[in-house]
Amino acid sequence: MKKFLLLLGICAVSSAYAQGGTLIIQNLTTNYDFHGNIYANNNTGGGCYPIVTSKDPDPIIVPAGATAKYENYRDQYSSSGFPVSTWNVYLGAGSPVSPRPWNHGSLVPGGIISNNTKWSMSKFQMYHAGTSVPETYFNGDIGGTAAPCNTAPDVVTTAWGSAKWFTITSGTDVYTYLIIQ
Amino acid sequence: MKKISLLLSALAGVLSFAQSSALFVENYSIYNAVGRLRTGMPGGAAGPYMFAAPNPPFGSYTVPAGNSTQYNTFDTSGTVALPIVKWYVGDATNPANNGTFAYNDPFITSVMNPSNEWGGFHFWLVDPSTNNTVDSYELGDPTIYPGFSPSLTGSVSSADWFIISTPTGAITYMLIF
Repeated sequence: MKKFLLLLGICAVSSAYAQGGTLIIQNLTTNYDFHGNIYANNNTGGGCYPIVTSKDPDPIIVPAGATAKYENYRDQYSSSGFPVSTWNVYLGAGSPVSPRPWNHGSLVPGGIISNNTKWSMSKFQMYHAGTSVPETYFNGDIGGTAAPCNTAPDVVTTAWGSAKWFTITSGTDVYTYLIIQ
Repeated sequence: MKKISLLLSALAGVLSFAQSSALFVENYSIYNAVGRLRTGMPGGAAGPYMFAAPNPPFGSYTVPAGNSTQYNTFDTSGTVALPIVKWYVGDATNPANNGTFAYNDPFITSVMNPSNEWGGFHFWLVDPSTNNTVDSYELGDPTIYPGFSPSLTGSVSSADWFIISTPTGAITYMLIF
């Protein structure tokens, strides 16, 4: 009975959690630039689609010591220091990818895609600050682990630094953090 | 443990029961979407299919500029905004089924509701003031209608067809921008 209630509870939480919220990438390192792409997807009811990923720039670069903020697919373009001008949208398995500019009607806050996706993961590689030289082993896939759609761990630890992915909920606002240090 | 398996299989049942999904239609463009809204067999299997009759006052099924609607099931499609009051059924496997049926005909409820899924919309975007066609689309699920695509971009518009799964079931969206 307890497990039954727990499972019901998990279902309720995951449905209440459908809003995307703000993604904040904090690069707290002093000597590495973050080069990465960011992902969001649906993760309720066993479906993983739609999936939205950053397309342009490819990758997003957040310099050492800088913070990037993405409040939603559209408004980040004018508010973020490191804006995404084009998103790739995947509507379903086998569906062709649709590159969509930040101001496309399908990506507006409150729209179907915005309401049914949340920030899920990032693929990143750290580079020596200001150079095109990667720190070969300081990289990874990191995200809010949620099988089956998202299997990336929420911690990446290397000899050169580490990264952590977590969410904070304040009232009805959800903030997703990716901290690199 | 039994209850957990029951709940999980109930969830799985909801997910695999895609033909009962509602269809949300939203036309955000400034053009009328005119064409054939189609249902079909899952996976493109042989069997009955159908498409929507014209919604008055239009001569073909039309989603006017800026309009939206929601069809919960095939046999309630006549009672909502942009009503589909008749379905044109075709069935190569059983020609006796060919014909025009009222949305609430028992045949729609007993045969089409359980067998068909929302398949796609083969349509033209028409400027309502000049009647000029600006874009044309075969939008929908390619596993049901080969040649249809779930995401398309035209010269002045774009269109998406996709399913959102939720804990309470699936919803099919047809959005025109």
